Formats: sequence, C-alpha cells, structure tokens
Amino acid sequence: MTRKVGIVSYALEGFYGEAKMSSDELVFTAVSSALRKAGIGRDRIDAVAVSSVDAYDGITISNGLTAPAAGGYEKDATRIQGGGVAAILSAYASIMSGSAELAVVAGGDAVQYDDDAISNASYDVHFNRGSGINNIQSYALVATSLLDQGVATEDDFALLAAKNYRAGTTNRHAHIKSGYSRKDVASSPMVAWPLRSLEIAPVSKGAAALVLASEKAAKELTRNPLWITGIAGGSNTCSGSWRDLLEMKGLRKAIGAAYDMAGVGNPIADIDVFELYTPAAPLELAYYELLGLCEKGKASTLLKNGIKSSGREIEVHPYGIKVHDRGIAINPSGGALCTNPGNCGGIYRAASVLEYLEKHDQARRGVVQDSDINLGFMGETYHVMILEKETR
Amino acid sequence: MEKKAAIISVGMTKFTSCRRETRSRAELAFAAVKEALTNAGLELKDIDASVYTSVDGFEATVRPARTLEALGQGLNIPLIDVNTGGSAGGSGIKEAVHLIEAGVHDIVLVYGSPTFNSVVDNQQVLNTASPPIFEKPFGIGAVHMGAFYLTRYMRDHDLPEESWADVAAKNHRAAVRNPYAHLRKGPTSAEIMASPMITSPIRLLECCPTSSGAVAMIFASEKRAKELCDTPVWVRAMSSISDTFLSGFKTYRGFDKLKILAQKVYKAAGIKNPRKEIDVAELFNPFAGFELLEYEAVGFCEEGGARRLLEEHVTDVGGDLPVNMSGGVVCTNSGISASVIRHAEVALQLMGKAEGRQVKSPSVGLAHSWGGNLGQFHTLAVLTL
Repeated sequence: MTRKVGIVSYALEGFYGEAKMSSDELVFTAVSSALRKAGIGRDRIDAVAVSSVDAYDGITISNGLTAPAAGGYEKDATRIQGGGVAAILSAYASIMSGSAELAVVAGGDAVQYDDDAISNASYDVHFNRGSGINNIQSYALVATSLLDQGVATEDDFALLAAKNYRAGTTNRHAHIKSGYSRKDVASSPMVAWPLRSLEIAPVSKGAAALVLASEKAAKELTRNPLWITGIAGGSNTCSGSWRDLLEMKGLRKAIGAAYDMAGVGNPIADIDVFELYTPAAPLELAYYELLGLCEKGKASTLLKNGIKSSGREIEVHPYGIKVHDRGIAINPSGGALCTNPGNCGGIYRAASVLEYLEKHDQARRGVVQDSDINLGFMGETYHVMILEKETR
Repeated sequence: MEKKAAIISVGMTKFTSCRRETRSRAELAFAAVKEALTNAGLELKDIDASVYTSVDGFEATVRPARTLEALGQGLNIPLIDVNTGGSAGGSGIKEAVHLIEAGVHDIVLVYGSPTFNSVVDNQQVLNTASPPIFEKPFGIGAVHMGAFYLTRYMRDHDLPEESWADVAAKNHRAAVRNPYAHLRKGPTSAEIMASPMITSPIRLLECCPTSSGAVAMIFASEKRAKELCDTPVWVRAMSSISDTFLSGFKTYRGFDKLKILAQKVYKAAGIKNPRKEIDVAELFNPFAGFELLEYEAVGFCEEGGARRLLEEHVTDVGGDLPVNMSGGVVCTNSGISASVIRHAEVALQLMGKAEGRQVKSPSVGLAHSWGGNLGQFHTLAVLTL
C-alpha cells in the first residue's frame, strides 16, 4: 500500500446518564469541535461515516438525523452498525482507496431506551429470543465459563471492576467517576450470577468524533498525526459460539489480522496502551489471553501480580494509569464500566487511546478493541485497531 | 485510485410477495449466496469479508446480520453491517469497493435478504424515519414522499398524468421478461390509469409492491477478478450523497442532490456525455414516475425533457439507452435487496447474462439507489466491461 491514514483530531461531548441535547445536536457539537481542533471547515471533508444502531436512536434509518449533523450534507455519507471501529474502518477504506482525503467518523447517544429489550430483539427469533436472553445474561454466561475453567474467581471480577472505577476517577470524560472499591463492588446486588450490578456497565449518553486524513492531508494539518497501522475485523456465529464462549474465534481473528498488519510480534513489548470493550468486568480477563498479554488461564495472575516480559523487561500492570512509566495501561479511561455509549463507544475508545498517547511521551503504540457485544454475545462482530505515533 | 474492484458474480432468488413468502431470511440469503459462489467457482471459505445490508425495523429485529450465521460468520470473517435506508444496498457495495480498492480485502461478498414478513405494517416503521417532532406526526409514509416530487414536476412541466402511467407500463412490460421479478403481469398504460389513486398523482400500479427475496454479489480485486471471471465488471466510479434530514422546507424540484452526485461520479469516471456514453441503466423507481425525474438528474436529457425521451422509446427495449430492463423497483421492491439489485442487473447486462431481458452488447452501465426520509440519500455507480 502506498497510502496511509492518520487521525488528526478527536472530540468528545459528555458523558452522562441523561442527555440534555438530541443525538444530532450532540453529534454536531462533537464534530464541530473536532473540525475546529483540526483547523478545518466542513468544506474540506470528503466523506462521513456514522456509527449507530436504529434501536438506540429510537427511529428507523437514524443516520438520516445524524449524518448531516456530522458534516455529511452533500457529502459521501454512510452508516455502519457494527460499532465505532467498524465505522473507522469504513472511513479508513475511503481514504486508502483514494475516494477521500479527509473523513469524519462520528456517533451520538441521546435517547433513553430499554437496553434489555433491544438486546433481546437482536437474538434469533425462533431459538433464543423466547428464552428472554439479553446482553447481561450473555455476559454472565462468559463469566460462568471463566469460573468453570478456573481462569478467575468472583473476587477477581470485583478486583477488576475496582481497577476500572479507579481509572475512571481521573478521566474527565467518564460517566461514572465514583471510584467504587473492591468492597463496594463485591457487596453490590447480584444481577445475573455471577455478575453484580457494579460489574455491569451503565448506559451512557454523549457523542464522539474523529477526523481521519490521508498522509498528505495529515502532515498538512498536524505535526503529530497518529497513524492507523492495523485494522481488522472478525465475527462469531449466533449458535455456534454457544459451544465455547471463551473461544471468541472472531475476536482472535481480528486481533491476529490487526497485529499482523501493524507488525506486532510481541504485544507485551510492542503495545503501550489498550482500550478494551468490556461492558461486564469479567470480559477483560477473557481478553488478556486473546490479546497475547498472558498465557492460557493466567489472566488472574496478570491482574493481581503483573508478569515479566522477556522481550521488554517491564512489568505488565493493568493498573496502567498509575504505573504508566513502566507498565502497559489497560483501560486507562476506566473502560465501559465507567462510560458505555451504545452508538459511539468504539469512537470514544479510539479517542481515549489517542488522548493517552498524546499525554504520555514514552507511549508509542495503542490498541482499540471494539465489538457490538452491547447487544450481547452470540452472533457478535469484533474490530481491532492499532494506532501509532510514528511510521514504521 | 490505488487498486481496481470488479463484480465477478451475481446470485438471486425469485422474488415474491412478502405475504406469500415461506422462506426465512437465512434460507433466502443462503440460496442467493450459494448461487453467487457457484457462478464464481468459489466456496464460502474463499470470501475475505461479507457486507450485509438491511433496515432493521423492516425485519422486526435489531441487527439481523447477527443471526445469519451461515454466511461468513461461521468462518469468523469480518462482517460489515450497513444501513442507510433504501440506499443501503448501494452503500454496502460502496463499502466492498472501498475495501478492495484500499487493499484491505481481495474478495468481498455483499448481500441482502429481506423478507418484510415480520412486521404488520412497514409504513408505520418507515414513518419513524421522519423527523420525530415536526414531521412524523403528519403520518408521512413512502408514497407521500413520492407524491411531493411528482406533483411539483407536473406543475413545473405541465406533464399529463398519463406520463406516469406510460413509464410504469414500460417497467411492467420489462418485468414480464425478467424471470426473477415479482410483478410480471405487464399491465398497459390504460390499465394503470384505471387503477385506484393512492396519493395524488400516484396510482396503485405506479407503486412498488413489497417483495421478499435475496441477492448476493461477489466483488474481487483486479488480480483475482481476472483469474476468476471471463467478463469482470469494473466499478469505474462510485459515490453517495446526503441531503438534510428536515424536509419541510424543500422545494421538491427534481432530484437536485442526485444531479450533484452524478456530476461528481461522471467526472471521476471520465464521462462527459452520459446520454451517449452510457449503454444501460437501472434507476431506483419505487414509484414509476421517479424514473423520469432521474433521467434529468443523471443527465440523460435536459430539464423537462424526460417525457420526450420516453415517447421516443430511447429508454425502452431496442432504444439507445435502455433503462430498468429488470422491470425496476416498481415491479420488485425487496427493500434493501432492491438497491443491491440495481447494480446486479447492470452487471448481468454487461456480462451478457441477463436472461430474457438482455439488451444488445452494452459496455457501460449506470446503477442508482435512493433511500432515507424523502430520499435523503442517493448512491450512483458507473460500471464498465
């Protein structure tokens, strides 16, 4: 490939439990801010990719509302439903194909909705939906698998949630900044065994926007663009993945392809920050192994003690933001437990990695892991993106 | 453009009424995808990524792609889920083309398989696409959206109502020759004029049916296309355009945004005189009369000249520029499939595989899709041999 794509600007609006603006107003606010930061007007934008799901907006073809607000009037505009990083992939492909030089990726969440009902409606109507299954129950099934296979304990789940809540206290954009302790989490009400209420993400409102640019445009607009050096997807079957929920073959495929594309051989040595989509605390433990951060079954050890990496001689410590000088930050934003907008979550996670890389000179490369598991497991899709400060 | 993308194969089911459909979304999708793969000499494992297009509400579910497991997810390949309303098929194809041109993938499957049989009244679903506070309460549905444009056109160009019936009859005659079309009875202009008025000036037989069925297309990079297909159809240029959401202040004077899009796409494709250079077209016409407005927007004639083009049979079988030889959307509206089909039909024409409806040796085709509240979105593609 002769072209490459950078992210030259980002902006976040929110996040909170109840929006004070409509979704188009939120998107407009975030996109306007991102364009101002990039020093460009809407006229420079060639393409717009909106990330949303109709049900989360309460109307059908809801990108009709948000695409113009994202700068899409009389532009090449589309809407992707599989999460924010899937929308970033759309804009990335537009630029790499030569169809666009500058593209906006945006999403907004404003409408109050019944998360359980929307999740249930995404399951197969004949075999699954009637059981009443929803996203939280599917997270509980994954958590149960972690317990069954001896990967983690219920106490680990609380410890992990507390780690994320602590990180959220330092994130000005976070929806939940309460900093709940391990004890708070462990004593919160049981929702779907083994998940307690403070181990499950809230539903957040707000908006997120990015401006993507070709190499030429990026170098014109900023001295420090962050390049997308890896981006890939994968998916799971709606019934096949019941067989082993921890297999997550689609996520494995996405991680492997993104790492290959970016030339990541040893993630412990090569990556400085991860933002993972973990709408229930135990999922983060399931992902450590898949991301190559620990050996099979060692996620709990990683959480509690960190591990030594022969490649880098550093301590891998998921309490990242406190020890970033020598460790890898995992969900320094506080993750989805602190901020979980359904439409723009993947864009928010990308912005969080961008912000981390901007603030930490020694950090060079970050991973954004995204999916549509806000609707639940089984039939889910994944996308993984790698962002870098320098050209490799 | 870094790389070229081509259509190498098409698969399609026969379309029928949503009320008569007995096949599920997955069965329909499987049939279309299997045919497309077989035609290309490929297996499912050869696909790098799949693009699914839908409007969730029409299927009474959320993200129907999540439950279509036979079609790629079984191999854990990337799934791109695109929804831009009626234009989602065009938008999905644009995603596939960009992914190939960008060098991300070599072989991409695009498909849609709406049944429309899961909801009681699709118009209620569509009504929620209107601006919720200012416009939705008027009860606007699809046919009203069409009537605004056609009413204005009749006033501006002193067009007789019979012209809408004439263009509808042209489409219905074409559908008789298309074995996949839903409505194949071929009513005459007089019969169409005698059909009930739905929303002035649109009569029943000028309205699309609600069809059920699936279509699949396989796109490939230049190298793979040349290996796999004797007659690859190249995507020479493709783009989309968005209008505003609020519609109350629009003038409805033709499809002005399509005109802007056409100029952009023609420039990218190097087309200077579309009337002369384009050999065959599929234009999105859920209401038959749209086709006349689209002739003007895509530059087939000057403003107000569409009726003459129709009367001179330029866009009919045997004309210089046959349009909607499939019978168009007015004879088969399978929602999202309908916007994929516009591209599939043009590709089949260029490949010389449009059984029953083949026109003579076309080499350049135009495919259009339309969707969203009052036609907020258009996509347009120039396809060539």
